Formats: sequence, C-alpha cells, structure tokens
Amino acid sequence: MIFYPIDFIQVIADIVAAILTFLYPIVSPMGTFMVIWMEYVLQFFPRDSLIVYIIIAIVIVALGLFVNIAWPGDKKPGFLTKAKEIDEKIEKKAEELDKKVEDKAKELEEKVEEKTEKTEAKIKKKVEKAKKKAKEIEEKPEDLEEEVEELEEEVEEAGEELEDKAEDLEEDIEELEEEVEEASEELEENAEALEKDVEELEEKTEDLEEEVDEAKRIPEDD
Amino acid sequence: MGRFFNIIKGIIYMGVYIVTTMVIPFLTFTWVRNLSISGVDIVLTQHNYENIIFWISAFGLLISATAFFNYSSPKQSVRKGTFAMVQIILNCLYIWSYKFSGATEIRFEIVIEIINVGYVSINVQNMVMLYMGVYFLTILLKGYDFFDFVLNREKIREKRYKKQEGGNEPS
Repeated sequence: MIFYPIDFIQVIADIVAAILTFLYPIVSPMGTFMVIWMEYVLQFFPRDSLIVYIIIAIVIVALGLFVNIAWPGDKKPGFLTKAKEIDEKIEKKAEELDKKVEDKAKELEEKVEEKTEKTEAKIKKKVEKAKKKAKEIEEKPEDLEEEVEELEEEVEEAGEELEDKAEDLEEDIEELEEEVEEASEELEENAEALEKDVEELEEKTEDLEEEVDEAKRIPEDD
Repeated sequence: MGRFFNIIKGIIYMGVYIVTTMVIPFLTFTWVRNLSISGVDIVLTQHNYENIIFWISAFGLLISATAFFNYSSPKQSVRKGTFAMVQIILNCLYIWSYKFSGATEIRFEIVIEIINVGYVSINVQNMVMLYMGVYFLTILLKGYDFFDFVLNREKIREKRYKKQEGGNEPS
C-alpha cells in the first residue's frame, strides 16, 4: 500500500525532472539573477517579530481603502477637473489675449499704413524738392561756367591789356633809360665842363690871388 | 457603486491570498509535521518549522495586503500596475523564503513502532529555481504593464470615464 504512492511520486518527479532539465539552460540564469537580488533584499527584512509585517500590511490595506474610496476611477478626480477648468480658463484667456493682440496688431498695422502713406507722401515731396534743387544745381554750374568763361575772357583781356601796358612801360622804361643815359651823359659832360670851369676858376683864382699878392707887395715897396 | 465594488473585490482577493499563502501552507506544514499513513508514522524532521511559519506569515501578510490594494484599484490604473509589480516581487520573496527557511528540503522519517525504518527526502529546490525563472518573466510582464499604464494613462482614463458615462461597463 505504501509503495503505490511512492511510485506515483516517482513518476511525477521524473516528469518534473524532465521539464527542469529542458528548461534549465533558459531559466537557470534568470533564477540565479533572482536569487542574487533577493538575497540582497532579504538582508533588510526583520527576522525577529511579525509586528513590523503586520503594521506594514495594515498600513497598505488602510491606504488602499482610503485611496480607492477617494478616487475609485469612475470619475475624474477633483484635482484633475480643477486642472481642466484651470486649463479651460487659461485657454479662454489665451484666446481673449490673442484676439486683443490681433485687434491691436490690426490697429497698429492701420496706423503704420497711415504713417507710411504720410511718410511716403512727405518723402515724395522731399524727393521732388530735391529733384528741383538738383536741377537748379545742375543749371547753376552752367551759369557758373558761363561766368567763368566771361571771367576768363575778361582775364584774358586784362592780361592782354596788362601785356600792352607792360610793353608800353618797357618802352617807357627804355626811353627813360635812354633819357637817363642821355641825361647822365649830359650831366657827365656838364660835370666835365664844370670841372673844367672849376679848374679855370681855380686857375683864375690863383691868378687873382697872385695879382692880389703882387698888388699888396707893391704898396709896401712904396 | 464603483468604489464599493472595487473594495469588495479587493477584500475577496485579499481573502484568497490569505488562504493560499498563509492558511494552506500553515495547515500543510502543521499536518505534515506528524503524518501517519496506514499506521506508519512519517515524522517531518524539519527543525526550522517555526522559521518556515514565520516567513510564510510575514510574506503572506504583505502579499495579501498588496493584493487588496491591487485588486481594489481601478483597471489599468498606475497604482494597480505599481502594486501588481510589488505583489509579484513579494511573491518571489515568498517562494524564496521556502528555500532559505529549509522548506524545500523536507525529510520524512518512516517510523514503525518506535523503530526508525528509513526516510523519504523531498528536495524541491530545482523546482523553486524554475519558479524563480517563471517569476522573472512575470516581473517583466508586470513592468511592461506598468510602463504601458504610465505612458498611456490619459487615453486609459478617458476610455474609462467614457465607459462610466455610457454606463456600459462598470469598473
């Protein structure tokens, strides 16, 4: 009677052994990895009293009760609905702000267009003025050129006159020089004549002096 | 309606896990301690009987509590995914506790009228290792579920809320 169950157990053991042998190369590394981390983790589990485990179990159950009663998952949680409301409000505000921004942008665009039109008109006026001024400026050089030409002609004329005058002056100078030369020659001649006269006068004075001396000597002899 | 249904479901599963992880192993080891088949006493010479019972109780409590949290949580919720993973990890530790407490190497001594005839030894360590490998794969699956719930939580929530609004499928 005892051996029948033992045989049955043997058959089961053989089957299990076959399965294990087949799966061993695949499952064994996984099992080894599991053993490593479990042995590490189990170091931190208290081995003295069950109280710690009982407390942890009670805490988990209480937490589960509280959480799953408060947020059963069939409705949106309060904080999510609030968040959604806040999101909607933010979206509305954002849309309003967008509209405002668009309106302001349009206003600004219109203003900018007006200003640009005005400035364009002003610029056109200024350009026209500038063109006119440019034309005037372009015309002015022609006048100036004419004036310059006139002045050049005048200068040329004046130059010619001056040249003539210079020539006249040169002629006059030459004449004067000749006259001066002549005058100098005359003067030299006059000087020579005067010298001669002086010499004659000196001789006459000497003669006169001699006569005067002779005249003086004569009374004394008397 | 939904919340009470969830809580009842959690309580039921907690009861199931208490029975399977604590009560049945406790009764089994207590019964095996002094087993008599056809007048022949088969004595469990497990010296660490108390040690086995301690670890079975400790991890059984934790597994049952996490099972309550897990099964009372809404479907495909992040908390459900989290606690399912925690539960699997605790299951691994629970299974491993059989190994390190000595329960995987059980030796039955056959005694007929005080005379020790022989012994039967059952070594299920390799089976536990196989279990560990399977649990490793289960942890991977639960991890995938968890990330799926986290990444698609908006879609899952919307789907769940729509179902609730339509009244087709209560959670």
